[in-house]
Amino acid sequence: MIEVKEVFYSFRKGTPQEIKALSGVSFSIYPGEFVSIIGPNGSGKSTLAKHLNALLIPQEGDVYVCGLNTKKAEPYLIKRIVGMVLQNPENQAVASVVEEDVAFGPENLGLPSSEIVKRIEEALRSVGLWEYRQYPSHLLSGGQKQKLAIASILAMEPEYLILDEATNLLDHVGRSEVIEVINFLNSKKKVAVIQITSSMEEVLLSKKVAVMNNGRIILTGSPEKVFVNSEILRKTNLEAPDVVKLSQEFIQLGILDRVCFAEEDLVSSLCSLRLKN
Amino acid sequence: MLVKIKELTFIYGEGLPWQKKALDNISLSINKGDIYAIMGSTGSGKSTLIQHFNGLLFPTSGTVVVNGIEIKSGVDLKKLRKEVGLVFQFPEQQLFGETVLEDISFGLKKLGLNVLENEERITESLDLVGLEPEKFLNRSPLYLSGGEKRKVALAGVLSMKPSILVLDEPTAGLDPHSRIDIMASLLDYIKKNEATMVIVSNKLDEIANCCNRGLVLHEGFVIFEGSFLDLFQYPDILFRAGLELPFFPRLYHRLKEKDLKLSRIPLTREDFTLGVRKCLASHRLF
Amino acid sequence: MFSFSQVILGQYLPGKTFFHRLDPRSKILSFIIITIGLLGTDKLWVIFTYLASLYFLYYLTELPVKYVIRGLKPMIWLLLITSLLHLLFTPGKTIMNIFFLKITEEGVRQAYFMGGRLITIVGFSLLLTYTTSPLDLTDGIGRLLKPLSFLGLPVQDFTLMMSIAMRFIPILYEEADRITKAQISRGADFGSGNLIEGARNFMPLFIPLLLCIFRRADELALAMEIRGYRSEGKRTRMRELKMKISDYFTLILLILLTVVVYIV
Repeated sequence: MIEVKEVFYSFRKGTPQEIKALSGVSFSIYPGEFVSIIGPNGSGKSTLAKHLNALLIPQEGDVYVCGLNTKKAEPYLIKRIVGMVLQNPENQAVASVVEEDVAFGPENLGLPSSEIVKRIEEALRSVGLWEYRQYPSHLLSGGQKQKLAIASILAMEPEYLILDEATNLLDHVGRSEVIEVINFLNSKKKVAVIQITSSMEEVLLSKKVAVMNNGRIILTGSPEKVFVNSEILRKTNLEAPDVVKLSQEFIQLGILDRVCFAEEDLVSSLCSLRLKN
Repeated sequence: MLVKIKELTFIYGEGLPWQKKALDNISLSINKGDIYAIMGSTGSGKSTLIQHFNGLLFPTSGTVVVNGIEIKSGVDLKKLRKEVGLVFQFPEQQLFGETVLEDISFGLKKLGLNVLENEERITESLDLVGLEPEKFLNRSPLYLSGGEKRKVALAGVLSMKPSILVLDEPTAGLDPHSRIDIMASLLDYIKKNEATMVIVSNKLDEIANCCNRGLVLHEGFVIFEGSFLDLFQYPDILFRAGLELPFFPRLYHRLKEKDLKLSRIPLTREDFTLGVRKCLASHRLF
Repeated sequence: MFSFSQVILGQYLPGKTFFHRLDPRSKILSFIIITIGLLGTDKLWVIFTYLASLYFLYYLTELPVKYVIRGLKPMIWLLLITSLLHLLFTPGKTIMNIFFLKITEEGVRQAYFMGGRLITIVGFSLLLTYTTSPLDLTDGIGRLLKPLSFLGLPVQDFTLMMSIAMRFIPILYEEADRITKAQISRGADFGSGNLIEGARNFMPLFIPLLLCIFRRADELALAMEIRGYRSEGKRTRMRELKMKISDYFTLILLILLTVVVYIV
C-alpha cells in the first residue's frame, strides 16, 4: 500500500519564483488497483507521481511505500517496489540492445546473473517483445519502445507501476499495444497501475480516479462518478469522454435514459430502441 | 494548381547498401485554398513527403512542382521557402531566442520589411495564436508552458505569411485544450490570408472537421486519395494504415453492423444526433 | 524509418558464431596483439596473410560484405591521405619526378604497406565492433581498466558513460539534421558569410541542439534513477564475463603468431 499523508511540495522553495505544486495531498493506493490521476496542466499530477517512487521527497508530510517512509528509506529500495514509465519513448532506453536494456534495472539491484536472465525472459514475454530481445532498441516503433520501458521496469518486479503520460506521444497502433499490455499486467499479474493521462478514454480503463486542481485532490471516485460531475469537470477544465457527452445529449433529447461509458453500450442502447418498436 | 506531385519516389541513401525506399510512386495535387490531410501512422513516409514541399529533399525520381517551381537541385529555393511555411514536429524545440520577440523576428528579418510592418506582423501573429503581445514579447520562450511554446513557434512561421502552410502533427503531445486552440488558430490564419494548408496527422478525430481532402500513406505507398467522406466509407483502409476511424464515423459503422443505418456518415456531433433522430423517426419511435 | 545511426557507427550484428561468443576482453586484447603484429612486420606477404585470414574470419562470422564496405567508407580518406603522404615524402631512390615532388621506390613501397596495414587494422576493428555488443565492448574495456579503480578512478561510471555516449551519438546526429532543416525552412542560412557572421548564423542550430542534449540527459538520468542506478552501488551483470578455454587458446595462439611474425 502507498500512503500519501498531507504532502506539501514547492519548486524553487524560498525564492520569489516559488511555485506551489502540492498543497496538502492525502491519498492511498492499494495493491492491485488501477488508478488514474487527472487534472489540468500544472495541477500537480506529475509532482504527486514523483513522490510515489521517491524521485521527490515531501517538504512537509510523509509518503509511505509498503510501510517505508520515503524520507528515510534507501531510494533504490522504493524504486524496486514502485516503477515508472515516462512520456517520451526515445529517452528511456539505456542500452542499445533490447535485452541489455531490460537487464539494467536488475543489474542495479545486484541480482545474480542467472536470476537476471530469468527475469529478462519473463518481462519481455509479458510485454510481447521476447522475439525482439537481440534487436537494437532504437529501431523499435514508438509503441514497442514504451513496451520495452515497461519490461525494463517489470524486470525489477515492482508491485506498483506509474505511467506518466506514457501513451501521449504514440500513434493509434502504439497506444493500443501499450494499453493491452497494461491491462494484462493489472488483471493477470496483479501489478497496481497508476496512470497520469490527458486521454479521458484511457481513464475509463481504471477503477478509481483522483482529480487534481491547484495542488490538491478535489475528488476521488469511480470514472462513472467523476465524469457525470459537471461542476468538477468545469472547475478543472476537463471534458468527459465523447461517449459520455454524446449519451448525455441523447438523455436531454429524451432518447436515452442513462449515461453510457462504453461505445458498445451506447451502440447497443441506441439499437435496442428500435427493437422495442 | 498549387502543388503537383507526379510519380514521386524517394530513396534514402540511394545506391548504398542500406538504402531504403521511403516513398513509392506518389502522385497528388493540391489546389489553392485546400485544406489537405496527409495521414498515416509513424514511419509511413509522411514526414519524408512534406520535406519535398520546400526542397529540403529532392525526388529520387518523379516531379514535384510547388507554386510553379519544379523542385530539383540547382533551383534557387529561397523564394519558394518564403512562400511555403514548413513546420516540423515539436517546433518549440527549435526556439532559440532570448525573448519571444527575438525568436519571432528571426524568420521575419529575411523578408526585408520596414520596422513598422515588422512590428505589425509580430503583434498580428501573436494575436492569431491567442497570446497577448504585451504579456509575452519580452519573456524568454524557455520558461513558457508547453502549449505556449508551441504557439510561439507557430507564430514565428505565421508572421512570415506563407501562402502554403505545411504542418507535421502540429498538436502532437499537447493537452486537449491547447490542441483545440492551435487547430482554431491555424484555421483562422488560413481564412484571413486565403492560404492553403497541408496537415500531417495520425489523429483523424482532430482533422475530420476541417480538412476536405487528403491521402493515406502506408509504408511509402498511397493507399487512398480523395474526400474524407469517401475515406470514412471504408474502415478497412484506415485499419490497414494503422489509423483509427474518428468517433462519429466509427459509431456510424458500429450502428450499421447492427442494422441501424444512418442516412449519411456523420462528421460532427450535430450530424450524428440529427442522423439518429431521423433514423428513429423513420421507425416511428420519436 | 531510415536512421542515420545505420551510417555512422559500426553497428553490432547479433549472432552465435565462435567469434561472437569470445569474451570481449580477449577480443580486445586479440585486436591489440594483431595490431602490434601488423605494425612490426616489413613483409608484404605477412600483411597479405593477415588480410586473407581477416577475410576468412568474416566468412566464418557470417558478416555480409556490404557491412564491411560500409564501415570502411569513412576511413577511405584517412587511408588515401596516409598512403599519399608516405608516397611523396619517403626519401630514397627516385623513380619519378612530378614538378618538385620526388616519388621514390621506398615511397611506393611504404604507401602500399601503410595502406595495407591500415585496411587490415580497420578490418579487424570492424570485426570486433560487429561481433561485440556496445555494452559488452565497454564492459570489456571497463574490466581491462579495472585495476585503475584501485587508484580511486570511477571506472564503473566511466564504462557506463561510454556505452550511453555510443547509444546517443546517432540520435544527436538525427536531431541536428532535423533542427537544421527546420531552421532552413524558416529562412536560416548556414552556408554563407564571414567567420563571425557564420558563427552567429549557427546560433539557431547550436542553441536548440544544446537544449536538446540537456533535455535528453535529464530524462535519461531520470530513467536511470527510476531503475535504481546508484553511482556508488554495486552492480552485477546479466552476462558475467568469463574467460573460457577458447579465449585463452585464442590469445596464446595469437601471441605465438605475433612472435613468429617478428622473427621472420
